[in-house]
Amino acid sequence: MSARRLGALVLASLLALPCARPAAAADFVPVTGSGSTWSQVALDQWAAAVKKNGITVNYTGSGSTAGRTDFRSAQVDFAVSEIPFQLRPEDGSPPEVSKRDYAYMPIVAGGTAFMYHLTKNGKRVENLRLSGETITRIFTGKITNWSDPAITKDMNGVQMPNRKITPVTRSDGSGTTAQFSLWMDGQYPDLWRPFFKKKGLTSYYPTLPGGKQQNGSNGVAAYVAASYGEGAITYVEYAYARNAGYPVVKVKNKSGYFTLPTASNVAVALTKAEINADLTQKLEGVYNSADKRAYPLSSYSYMIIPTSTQAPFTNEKGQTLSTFIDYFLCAGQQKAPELGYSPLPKNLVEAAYKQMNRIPGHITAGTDLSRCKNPTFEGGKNVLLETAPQPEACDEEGKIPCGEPGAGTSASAPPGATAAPTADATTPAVAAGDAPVVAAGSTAFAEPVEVAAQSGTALVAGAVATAVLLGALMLPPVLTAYARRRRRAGGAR
Amino acid sequence: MTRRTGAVLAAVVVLAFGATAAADPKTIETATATPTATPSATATPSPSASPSTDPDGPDDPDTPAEPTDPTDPDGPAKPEYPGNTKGKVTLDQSTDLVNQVIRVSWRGFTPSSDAFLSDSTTHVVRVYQCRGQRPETVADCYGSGAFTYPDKPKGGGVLPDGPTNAVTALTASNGRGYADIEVRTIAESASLACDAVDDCSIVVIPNDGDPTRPTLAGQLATQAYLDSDWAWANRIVAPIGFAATAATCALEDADFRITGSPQAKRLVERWQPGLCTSKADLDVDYTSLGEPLARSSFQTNGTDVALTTRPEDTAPSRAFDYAPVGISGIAVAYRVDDADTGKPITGIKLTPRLVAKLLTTSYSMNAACGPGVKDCNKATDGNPQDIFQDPEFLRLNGEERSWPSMAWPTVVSGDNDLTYELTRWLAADPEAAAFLKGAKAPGGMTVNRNFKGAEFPTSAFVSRDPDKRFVHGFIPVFGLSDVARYLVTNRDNSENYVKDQYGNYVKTGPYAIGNRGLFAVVSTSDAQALRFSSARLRNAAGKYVAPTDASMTAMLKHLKTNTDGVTQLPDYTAKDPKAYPLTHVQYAEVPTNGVEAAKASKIAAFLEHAAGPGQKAGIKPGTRPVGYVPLTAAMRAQTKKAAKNVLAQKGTIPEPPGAAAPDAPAEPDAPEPVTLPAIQAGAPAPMGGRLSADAAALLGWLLPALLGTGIGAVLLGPILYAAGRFGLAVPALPSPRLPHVSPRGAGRRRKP
Repeated sequence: MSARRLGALVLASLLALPCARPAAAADFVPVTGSGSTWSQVALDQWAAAVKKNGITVNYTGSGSTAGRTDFRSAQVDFAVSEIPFQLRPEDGSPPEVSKRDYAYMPIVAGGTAFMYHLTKNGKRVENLRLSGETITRIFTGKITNWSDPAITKDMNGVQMPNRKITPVTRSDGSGTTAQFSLWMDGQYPDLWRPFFKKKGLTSYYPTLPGGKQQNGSNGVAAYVAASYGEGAITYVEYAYARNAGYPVVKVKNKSGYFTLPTASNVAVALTKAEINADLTQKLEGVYNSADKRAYPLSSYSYMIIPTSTQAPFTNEKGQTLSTFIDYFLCAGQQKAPELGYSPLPKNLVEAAYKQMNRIPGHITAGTDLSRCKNPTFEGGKNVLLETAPQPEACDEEGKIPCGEPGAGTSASAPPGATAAPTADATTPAVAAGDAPVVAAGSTAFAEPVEVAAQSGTALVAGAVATAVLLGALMLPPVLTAYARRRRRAGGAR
Repeated sequence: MTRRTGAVLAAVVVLAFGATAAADPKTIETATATPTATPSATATPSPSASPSTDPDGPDDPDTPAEPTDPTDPDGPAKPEYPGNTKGKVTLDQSTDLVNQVIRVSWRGFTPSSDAFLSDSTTHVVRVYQCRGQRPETVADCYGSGAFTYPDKPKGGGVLPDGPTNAVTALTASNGRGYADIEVRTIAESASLACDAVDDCSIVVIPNDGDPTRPTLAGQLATQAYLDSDWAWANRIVAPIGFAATAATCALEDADFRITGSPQAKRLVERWQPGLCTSKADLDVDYTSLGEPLARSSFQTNGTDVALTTRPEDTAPSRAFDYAPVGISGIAVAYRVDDADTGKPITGIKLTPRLVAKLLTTSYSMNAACGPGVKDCNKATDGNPQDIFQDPEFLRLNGEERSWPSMAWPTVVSGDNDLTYELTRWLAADPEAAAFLKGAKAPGGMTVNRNFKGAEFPTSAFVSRDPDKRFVHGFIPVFGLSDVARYLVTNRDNSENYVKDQYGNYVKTGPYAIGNRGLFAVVSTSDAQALRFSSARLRNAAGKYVAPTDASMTAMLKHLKTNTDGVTQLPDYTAKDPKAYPLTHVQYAEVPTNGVEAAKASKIAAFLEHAAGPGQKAGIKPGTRPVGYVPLTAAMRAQTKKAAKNVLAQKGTIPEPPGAAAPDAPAEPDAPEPVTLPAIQAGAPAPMGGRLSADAAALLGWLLPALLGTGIGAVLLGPILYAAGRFGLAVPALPSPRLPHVSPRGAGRRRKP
C-alpha cells in the first residue's frame, strides 16, 4: 500500500464523516466471498449492481459448507451460509471452530421450495399441494409413488399418476440441505431420525433409495427440469424453480392452507422467526406460524462477516464490504421478489446494520432507515406484510385443490394475468415488492388466487371470493341443466 | 482521443531483459552489459482476431518502450543468471487499459517440449501482471507463490484479491506463442494497485531451466520452477498503463430499475457509470434476468423498464412503448487447441446442423458403444464420439488436422430469448430441421434418441439424456454471463459421474491450455470482450460468417417487423452472403402511463442516451462496448419517439399481440416448429416439457377467455340454475363467451 493511497484513504474517510455515505469510490478495494448457492442468485445480482460504484465483490457459490470452511481457513473475506458454524454437529462431523472473529448477518429471505416435474394426462401438473408430513415421507423414502394415498389425500382425492417418485437431493455440503433437514428434524422427528439414524440437521443428505443426487442448486434444478426429470422432486431455493419455469409444491401450513414461497408468504412466516442474540435464527415459530398465508419453510441466509482485521481482512476491505451491505440491505432488496426471494423485514435490517457496525473500517450507515429503500417498510410500515394476499378458499385443506375442475378458479391462468395488480388497491411500493413473485408463478404455474385476493378492500375481495366459491358450487348442476337443454356439452371449463 | 488512446490497438513494448535489469537495483551488473540491453520496440499489428472497435483506429502503433535509466545496482545477492536476449514480446494494447483481456504474444522463445501442458513439460511460459514498471522480484507479481502484500499472513498462500490472473502457456515449435491475460485495475486488485498514476507491467517468464545445471533441464525447466531465480532472470518485462480511474457512480439510490436481457448486460453496465456522471445525473439499477421473466415483471409493475429481444406474447397490462437500445448477437464461442501443437485453433466453421448436434447432446461422448463395451449409451449409438470425429465437421474444418477431445458444451439454463432465437434459427434451416426430426445426417448420424418429441424452437435448454454420463455432463448454467465465465476459465459445467469418497459428484476442473475442446453459447458481447473465438456459422446463403460488426450490421437489412409495428426479429431464411444470422435487437419496454414525472424524465433521459451517445463505440463509460453494433437511424428515431411518449405519460395499453405476426409466436406453429410425435407417455413437449412460447401464447389467449368464461358462468350460474330448476326457458345465451370479463380488466393499472 503506497503512502499516496493511504493518504487518499485517510482523506476519503475524513470526508466521509459528515455525510453518511462516502462519495469517493476510487478507493474501494475488492472483497472476496464464497458459500451458499441458495442465495447466490441474489448475491450475484447485487455484486453486479455495485460495479458502477467502483466496488468489486467476487463471490463464488461453492456451497455453504465450503463457504464456512473457506472463512475459517482465511481464504475469503466473508462467507454466506444458511446455517451457522456447526460447533457441536450432531451428525458426527468435526466441529467448525473459527479462529477468525465473526458475526452473523442476515442478507436475504426466501423459501426452500419443492420444485417438481410431473405430467398427468399429457399436461404438466402445476397445482400439486402437499403436507409437510407427506414431503418428509417422500424424502425419507416412505412414499415412492405419486399415486400414494397420502398424496391423494393432500390433493383432496385428486389422484396423481401411478409413477415412481424420484427425490433429487444435493451431493455437496449444502445449506439448503441443512435447512430442509432442520425442518424435518423439528417437525417430523419420528420420520426423519430413523431415516437419518441420528438427530439434528445435516449438510450432506443421506443416500435415498430410488433418489438421485446432484451437485449444487443449479444441478438439482437442472435434473428436475430435464425431460427425464418426469416424476422428480427436489428442494431448492425458489429462484431456481422460477428460472427454470417449473412449478413448486404448495406446502400445508399450520392453519391448514397450502401456500407457495412467494415474497409475501415468506415475509409473513418470518415475522415468527426468533432471532438469537447472535442473529442466528430459531425457526420453530416460522414452521408453526398460524397465519393462513405463511410458507412454512421460510428462512433467511446469513453472511458471516469478519469483525477483526485478522488476515485476509483489512479496514479498507471493511469500507467496501459495509458499503456493499448498505446497498443490499436497502435498495438491493428491491430485486428480491423478482428473483424469487423475499426482502428482509425491518427488524432484520435493523439487526443487520448493528452487525455491520462491527466490521472494522465500516462506513456510517443505517442510522436513518426512512431513507432505506427496502420494499418491506415504505413509510415505516411493513407494506409487504399488510398487503400480502390471503390464500384462496381452494387452498384450504379439505377443499378441491385450486386448478381442479370445480375448485372455483383455474390453476392455469394465463401468464401475467393473475399478477396484474388491481388498479387502485395497491400502492406502487407493493407493486414493486410483491407483484413480481406472483408474476413469476404465472409464467409456469398459476396463482389464480390473486385475482380476488389482491383487490384491495377486504369487502370486495370477500365478495368476489364468495361469488367465485358460490359459482364453483353451483356451476356443475347449472351446466348439466344447460347442457341438457342445449343438447350439447357445456364448455364451461 | 488522447495520444495514449491512440496507441490502443497496436502498442508494442519489447524490452530485452537487460533493459529492465539496468534499472533494477537487485539485479546484477553484468546483465546491464549485455549487448542487447538497448530497449527495442517493434510495431506488430494486433492479432487479426482483435475485436476492438476503437472508432478512431490505431494512429500511433509505435510506442517506444520507455527509456531505462542504467544505474549501478547493488552487488549480486543471488547466483548470476543470464537475461533473455532472443525473445520479443508484443502486447496488443498496453496503454489506457481498463479491466479487460489483452493478448500477449512472443517469438524467439525456446519451444516447449510438449503440445500440452503437464508437470513434465519443459520450457513453459508464465505470464504475470506485476506491480510497477520494473518489478523487482517475482514477489511483485500477482499469483506467484512469493507475492507480497500488506497484512500477508505468515503462512502465505492466500491471494488477497481472489484467484490469480496469471496464465501458464507454451511456446510452439516456431518459437512463438501467446496468452490472453486479464489485466486488473486497482478496483479488481488492490494489492497490485495499478491505475493511471501507478503503472504496472506484464512479465513474461519463459523457464528454460537453470543454465548452470543444464543436465537437469528436464526437471528445472518445468512449471514447478516458474518462480525460480533463473526463470525470473530470463523474463521479459512490458510496462502497461491504465486509463484514468473509470468514472464511478456516487452511492445513491437508483432513479429507476431495469430488468432483463442478459445479452444487453455489458452495454447497460458500460452506460451506468457514464450516465451517473453525465449532466443527466442518472443512476440506473440493472438486473440481468431471462426475458420471459423480465417481461412478466414489467407487466406487473415489478420493474420500471424491461429489456427484451422478443415482443410480448400475451396481452399487456401496462401502457408502454418498445424502444431499441442495442444490437447484439449470439455466438457459438469455443476454445479448441490443436492436439499436435497445442495451439488454439481459430476459424472453425459450423453449419446449423452441427450446432443442432452439439445442443442436442447427440455425440456419444464418453458413453460410446463398441465391441466389449458394457453399459454404453444406446441413445447415441452409432454417432461419432464428438464433433471432432464427425465427418461433417472434419470436411469443413480440416480432416488432416489433429483435433482434441470435446468437452461438454456449455449453455444457459432457464427461459431466455437467446435460446428461443437460436433454436428458431436451427428450425429455419432445412438440414438442421430434418436432423432434429430424426433424419440421418450424411455419415449416418442421428439426433440423440431422447430428443424424439422435442419441439423447436424452445425457450430453454434442458437435458434430455438420462445416461449417467450425460446427466452429470450436460448441465445448463444459471445466467448467461456465467456461461462465459466457464469458458474463460477453460471449464465446462460437467462433473464426475462417479461419486467421490464423500458422496459428492465433483465438478470437472479446468482443461489445460493446449488440451481444450470447449464450446459455449454466449452473447457476442461476452465473446468479444473476453476474446473468445466465435464459430463462423453458415447462413441461408450458404456462406460461413463470423459475428463481426460488419456481418451483424448486414443482418439488420433482414429484420422482419412484428405485428406490434415496432419490434423486429431476424428472417433467418434471408439469403445474404455477408450477414451473420444470429443478430438481435434488444428493446426496452418503457412505461408511457402511470409513472410520476420525475421518474419518467429519468427514463426518457436513458432513452436519449441509448439513441445518441450510447451508440458511439469506445472504451469510456457511456459508450458502446465491443460485441454490439450501432442502432440504425430508424431505430434511433423510434427510441427518441418512445422517450417523448415516456415524458408525456399519455400512453394507452397496447392491443394484444396479433395472431398474424410472422415471427410473433401467436400461432402454435408459427416459426416452422420441428416436432416429432412423442414416443413416450406424456405430452409432446419442448426440451424440458415446457410449453413452447407459441403454445404459451396461445394459452395466453385461450386462458383469459376460459377464465372469463368461468366468471361469466359464475355470474350466470344462479340465473341459469334457477332457470333450469324452475323450468324456465333458457335463453340461447352463449354464456361461455364473455371475453370482457377477463381478470386483465381488473389488472389494468392507470394512475393519474
